[in-house]
Amino acid sequence: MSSPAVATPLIALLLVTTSSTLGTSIIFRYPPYPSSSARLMRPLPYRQGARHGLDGMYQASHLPSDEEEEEAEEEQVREMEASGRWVEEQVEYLFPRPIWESRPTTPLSTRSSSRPPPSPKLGTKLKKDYDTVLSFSSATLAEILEPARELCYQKFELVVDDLAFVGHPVCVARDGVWRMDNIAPPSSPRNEPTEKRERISFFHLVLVLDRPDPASYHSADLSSFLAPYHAQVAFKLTAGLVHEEVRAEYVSKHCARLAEMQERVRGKGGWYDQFCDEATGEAGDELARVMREVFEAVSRDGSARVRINHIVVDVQLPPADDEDEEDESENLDLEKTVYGWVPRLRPWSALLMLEEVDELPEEVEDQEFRQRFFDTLEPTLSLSDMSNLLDLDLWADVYPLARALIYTRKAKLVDVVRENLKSVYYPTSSVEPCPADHFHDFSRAFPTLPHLATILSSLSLSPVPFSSIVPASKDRPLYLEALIWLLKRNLLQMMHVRVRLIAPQELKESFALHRARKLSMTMTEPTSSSYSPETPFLANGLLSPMLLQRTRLPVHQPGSEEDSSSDQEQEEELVPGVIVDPGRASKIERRWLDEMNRGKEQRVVDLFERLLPYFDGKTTVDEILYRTEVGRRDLREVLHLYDPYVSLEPGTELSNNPI
Amino acid sequence: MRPTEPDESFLPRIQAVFYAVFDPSKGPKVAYQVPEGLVASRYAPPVPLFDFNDVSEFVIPKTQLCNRLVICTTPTHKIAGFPVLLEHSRYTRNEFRFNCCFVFKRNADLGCLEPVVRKVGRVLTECEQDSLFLSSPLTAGRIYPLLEQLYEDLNSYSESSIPLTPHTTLDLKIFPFYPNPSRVRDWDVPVALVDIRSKLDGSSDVTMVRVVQWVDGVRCVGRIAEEADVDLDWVRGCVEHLLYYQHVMLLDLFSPSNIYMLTPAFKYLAMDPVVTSECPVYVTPPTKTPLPWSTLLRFYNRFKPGKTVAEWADECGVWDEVTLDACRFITFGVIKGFLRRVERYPPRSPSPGVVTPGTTPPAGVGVSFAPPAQVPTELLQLLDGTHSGDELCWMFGVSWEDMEAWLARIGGVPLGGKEEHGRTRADLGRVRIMFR
Repeated sequence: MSSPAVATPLIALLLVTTSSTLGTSIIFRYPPYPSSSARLMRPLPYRQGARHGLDGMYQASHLPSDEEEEEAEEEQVREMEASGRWVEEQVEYLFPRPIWESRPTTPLSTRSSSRPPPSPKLGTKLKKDYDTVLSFSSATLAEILEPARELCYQKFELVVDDLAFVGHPVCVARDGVWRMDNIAPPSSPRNEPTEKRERISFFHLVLVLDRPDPASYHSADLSSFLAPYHAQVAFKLTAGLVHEEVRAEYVSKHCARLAEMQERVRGKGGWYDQFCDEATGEAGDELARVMREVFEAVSRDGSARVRINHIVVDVQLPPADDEDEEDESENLDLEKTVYGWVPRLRPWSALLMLEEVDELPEEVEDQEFRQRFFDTLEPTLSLSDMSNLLDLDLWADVYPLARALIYTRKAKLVDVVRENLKSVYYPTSSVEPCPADHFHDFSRAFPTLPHLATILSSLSLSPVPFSSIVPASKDRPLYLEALIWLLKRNLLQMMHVRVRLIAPQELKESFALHRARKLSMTMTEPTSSSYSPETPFLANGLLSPMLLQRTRLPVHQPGSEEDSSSDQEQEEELVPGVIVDPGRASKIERRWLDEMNRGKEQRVVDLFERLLPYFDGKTTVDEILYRTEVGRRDLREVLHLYDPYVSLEPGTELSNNPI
Repeated sequence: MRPTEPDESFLPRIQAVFYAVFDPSKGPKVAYQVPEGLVASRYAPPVPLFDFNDVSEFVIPKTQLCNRLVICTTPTHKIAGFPVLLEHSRYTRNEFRFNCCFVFKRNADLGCLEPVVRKVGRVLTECEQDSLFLSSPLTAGRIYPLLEQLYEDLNSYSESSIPLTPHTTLDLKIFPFYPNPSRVRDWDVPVALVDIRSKLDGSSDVTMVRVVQWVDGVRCVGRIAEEADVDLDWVRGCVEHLLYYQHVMLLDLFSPSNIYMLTPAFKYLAMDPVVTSECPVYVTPPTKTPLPWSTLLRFYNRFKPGKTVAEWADECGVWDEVTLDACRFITFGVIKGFLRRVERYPPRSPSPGVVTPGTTPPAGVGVSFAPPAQVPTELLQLLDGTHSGDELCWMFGVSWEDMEAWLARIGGVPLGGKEEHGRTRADLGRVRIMFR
């Protein structure tokens, strides 16, 4: 599962609008001063130890004039590497950007009307503060982000050096009216005669991304990396905004308000971040707040629920593909990257809520049903148990809700937590963030339990049931709580046990021996058998084991020729063999299985036969129990009785009680 | 959303190349294009790929976008260019704007072509500055063949060399893009995946030649530096270089005290015909008869957390009958991805057993504690749960047994007696070892 703290390359949200009075401008940006990460033109001197040969050519051509200077420079590099401050100081390593001195652009009408700032020097600074975004002039950037009308109402994607701009520009229809399918624009403007305001003719909510290291989208191209940002954020929000613009002039209204607010703050000599604070504050503007919430959620890969008037928009990037997922991995297709991915739900898995549900998902209409669902939901109940308890259909009712919860990261899919804590848990290989943080949180959450390091250490020494660390049965509820805490933080995972059947050498030998005996018996009592008298071994009267092999055919019902030959070659090497798919055992494998059954109680044999198809090394014990409806105790008994032929994966022993 | 079309090769095909300029009277226009008519057509067929007017503001853009790589998209195509603005009094309006653009399908991955687009823009700029290669009517006629050659060569051979002026040649080659290699640590063991030595020749880097001789799948980076008598930093660099080109992969240092466990991938790979056929041959010394896969499967199955390789080998009898090379046996599993190393992380917890509520400081932080004799002081600082056993052993140049003894001293528990010897221990008093 992806943890919600992963940062995404989103660095800013811009709202570009066009109206006749303001022209095309960036009406609001969040955060106030976005910046992209520094790009280098040459590798930095190596981070460990002395300088690295990679930068040798540059160093050779820029040799310091004397030894002292060289030492000073090396000292400087070392210091910068230690502090990470190289960006400001080692300008010569930065990738050069073209610098175009800003020419006097057409002054925007708003600026001319603003009060002159206190002092001319502060004025230029203030102007720079407001009008520079990501080293572009704000007016130019706005014009760049206003594409031709033909490119409106479709995905916009522009890459400039290391920045990617993604959005969904929309504009007014040619007749000057905002339209959206099946929504009529307000019938007549005389409903609100007092509020005659200039309507915007174009708006574009742009996501600015610092292009990530290509390694992070190596499996796909940049466009498919950007696709979810468009589909899940820009498109959704734009759709809501257009709807409300058509219905209630939402964007026009808020843009006018923001422009007015900005003018006021700027007139008072306030910086852009002051304006930004005010706009996104309590008394600020709703649209600005929406932009801030969305930015804050998406930039740390979380989810946000924002309201555009009455329209509720859930915004989040799709959950990342889980690499640890044990399912057959399908190819990462575009659908999956854009619309997200939810692990395959299994009736025998459970849902673990990651946070309290304050607002129940909208997907379910029935309030009472939702209440019942969340009251019942426990990680100790499998999804199929849930559907039985609530008398719901697993596929039609439980799965969609579970999927929605997982998709919005409110819950995660786990293996059913058994209340007796008998399952084997093992620490996951990745611990994010620093283990010390977990230690601290854990000792705060569970002050009476041993230190987390102690717990993880005892669980990880060898695969043991979680219950083995519980000192007394009265402590079990607390430890159950601790286990759920650990599962939520992805520190533990359940060890899945699978069963494989192996026909060991002894079995094959005993099988061969047994058959030999049976054959010799049939030979001594030829009258009781139904063979025809012309069978070859009767002719010479003596049988060597070798002859037995060859004269086996008449003993059984006349079988197919290739069967006998394959039998022969398999038996000739009496080496242990794996029964790959016991559910579809070949003839010889079937005989080994019969050999395994020999001398067992009929009840056990029946159980074994029922479980057999799932002893293929691929089905987990939980799945076996669900599919066969055999009890855990019975399964354990079968595995004990068939111990020499059963191999548990990953290497666990029955004595450890993994089942 | 349209489904992704399968790419013919890993390099995207250039659909068209065009050269656009800013015409002082007509504005942005396409001067030359290959294939003819695909970008802006004056005659009816063929149908252009897109309407040039839609994208002209990105092809000949505002000044602030000039001399930057600009990739814009239409519903079906991507246009990558490097718009250039030259300011000089010799031009009408005192400036000259041009852009040599490459057109790709919308879903093309341009990662490896971006440097090519940049270079074409940069080299043409220099030619123009030196000899008015683009703006002079004398040489302007050579632009079309240039585009033609770019289109043909890059699509067919992924490289091109085009003489432009007597002094300038446009040399291009498309290199596949590889992600940055992971960090190489001194205790990592590089294992060759190809025959690296066959790829070296007389002109190879001398350090690389020396380092490669010692890449044998047994020696770690630190050892290679010692044996090859090469600076440690340079060995790291060489190994990173080999990693980048996927010539080696990194494994752990093999030691009998290592612990391994099976990964979930085992359930598929255990019966994979490639694994079952390769493994017996790979893990058996040349003179011996390979063991059957089912036996090896059992051996693999006995790897589990808490069991060291030494214990595992005792259990399977691998030491006695030398029909199996334990090191290669483990390496095989790790390379195939069904076996993984279980690392030891020794954090220091405040006290063994139950701790007093509310007073628990995080491990390794804020506890003033003098190390016992014979234990390096620096070790204490590293017991915060982020440093693995391998790292500590390498740093202090000791084996895990010695490290364990030190940790037991720090933890305040007696060293294991004879019966304890060789057993895996997690509880060392104040030091707890986490395996993961």
